[in-house]
Amino acid sequence: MLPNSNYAPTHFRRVCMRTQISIVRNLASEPFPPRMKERDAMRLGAHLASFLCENFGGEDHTRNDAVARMVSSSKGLASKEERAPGYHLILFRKALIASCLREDVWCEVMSANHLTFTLSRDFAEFEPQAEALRLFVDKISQQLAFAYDPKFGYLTTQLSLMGTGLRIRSWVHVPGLVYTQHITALCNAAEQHNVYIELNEDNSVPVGNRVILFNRSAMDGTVCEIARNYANFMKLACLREYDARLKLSRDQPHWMHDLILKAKNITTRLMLSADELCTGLSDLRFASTTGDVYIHPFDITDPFVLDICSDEVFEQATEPMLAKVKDKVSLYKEERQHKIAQLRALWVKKFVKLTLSQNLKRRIEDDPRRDPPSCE
Amino acid sequence: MKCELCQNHKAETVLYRQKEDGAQEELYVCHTCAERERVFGQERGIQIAAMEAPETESPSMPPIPEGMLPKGMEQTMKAAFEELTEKLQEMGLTPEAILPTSELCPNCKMPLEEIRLVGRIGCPQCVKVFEASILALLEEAQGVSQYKGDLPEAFATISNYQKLRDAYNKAIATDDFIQAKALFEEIKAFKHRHADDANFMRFLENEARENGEAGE
Repeated sequence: MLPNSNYAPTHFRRVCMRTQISIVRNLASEPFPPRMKERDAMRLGAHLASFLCENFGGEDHTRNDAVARMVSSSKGLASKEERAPGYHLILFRKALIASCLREDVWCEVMSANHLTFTLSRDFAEFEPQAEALRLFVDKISQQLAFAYDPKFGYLTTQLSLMGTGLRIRSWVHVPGLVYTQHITALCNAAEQHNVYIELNEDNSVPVGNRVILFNRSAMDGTVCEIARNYANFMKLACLREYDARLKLSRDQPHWMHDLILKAKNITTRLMLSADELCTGLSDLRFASTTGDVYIHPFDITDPFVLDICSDEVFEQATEPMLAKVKDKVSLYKEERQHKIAQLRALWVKKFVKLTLSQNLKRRIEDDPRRDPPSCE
Repeated sequence: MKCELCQNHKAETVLYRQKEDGAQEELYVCHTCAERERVFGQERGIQIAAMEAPETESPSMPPIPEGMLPKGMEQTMKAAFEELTEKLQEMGLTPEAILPTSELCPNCKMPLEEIRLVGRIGCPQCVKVFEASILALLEEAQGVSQYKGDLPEAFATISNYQKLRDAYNKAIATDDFIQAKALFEEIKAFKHRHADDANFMRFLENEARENGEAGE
């Protein structure tokens, strides 16, 4: 179910879980999708989809439900329910586009913009990947006139994308910075690099200590320059996070020990919510990157590991079993919930086969301090 | 109820019209129509039954929820509002008259207010119609308002040509004729190289036309 990815350097991969690069374009001759009449949107959507398939080797996956579920959960594209009139989902195989591309390109036709090209993977080479995607989009622009203004750049529905139409978004796992309470410092540093960190509305860190980073400006340079600037900040963020992790592991062995056991308990509990599971897995993932815990046979540092906590992926993975539970209408609601929680526990059983490292055990024995650290 | 004569404004008064059979008919009309009929309507048997003065409610400041403003601030604001209303009345204006009206993009009918509120534009035309406002919004959203990114191929050709031509003009102005000759040759080769580019050729034609007009 989870991809085995080896593209990014190990150090980077332990912090940055996934990156999505998108380039957005609109036709010069038509209003943007949100201002189009439904019939016009459907007509244009069908026209653009067939144009891309015929001229650039695209494959239309609009009607494939399994693909729709996959791109929605693992690529961050629109789910079937979120699709606007005229929406089409086109896949361009990487082999047909550019040899340096790490991943196939997905194109959403008639989402918020006429065309949104997306590349999603756990790669670290932002600049070459973004540039390769831009060159592919430029190739299409030789046959389609895109909306462009010398003052504003490429015109997009969202003002935040106007310019190059580029959005680089990364899902970053930052438990080290959260537990050492340095996340605000990271946000301040991000501002200086024109990068934005998405937190909860109350400025708290989302469940699983996973934050989303994205480039704030899309017009302050070429695609390459923006990607380079973003990559520089990502390197800085990863370095700070990794330092914080190792510092916690080195200086707070008791706290680390308690955290791991708590996480293990959370994942073995029967009545488990998606949020609880996510917290547990996040802490285990964190501990595994410091070398304090070994988890077999599952690779918990996999970029998509926290995605499996979502209800959507859980339901996909256990669909036949869930169907049986859901079909039994005679079951009381509470009983059904209990059954689903049991299934979830069975499903995550593989995560709890962990062993504490000898190193951590030894450090706990040597450490005279028994009190937990001040970290929350 | 709408005016029975113009069907546009709110009916504010009543007129009586004498029918052919002698019976009277009531007409509910707006003040504009009533005024017109008062002058010209008598020939048509229209009589004014009542001419109520339009409702001239003295404008008042909208209520402010309790505790929203510090003590004393509400009074200050009320006084300022009354002062402003008086000044406007002296000028023959109402507070509503000076409120900004929402502008629409003629192409997609997107109101500027919505662009400000949602941060989205409706069509390529919007940036031309609301250029100043969108530049300000971009400054807020992206921290910059000047595009420094990649140029589309057509624009890149034109931009490179303009750079060459500027350098040529500069060389001429500084009497550097050797450099000017080299640049002239380069421009010639550049034009030859991009002879297939329709956009570039159109640009050259426009430029030649403009230069011709300037010469005349």
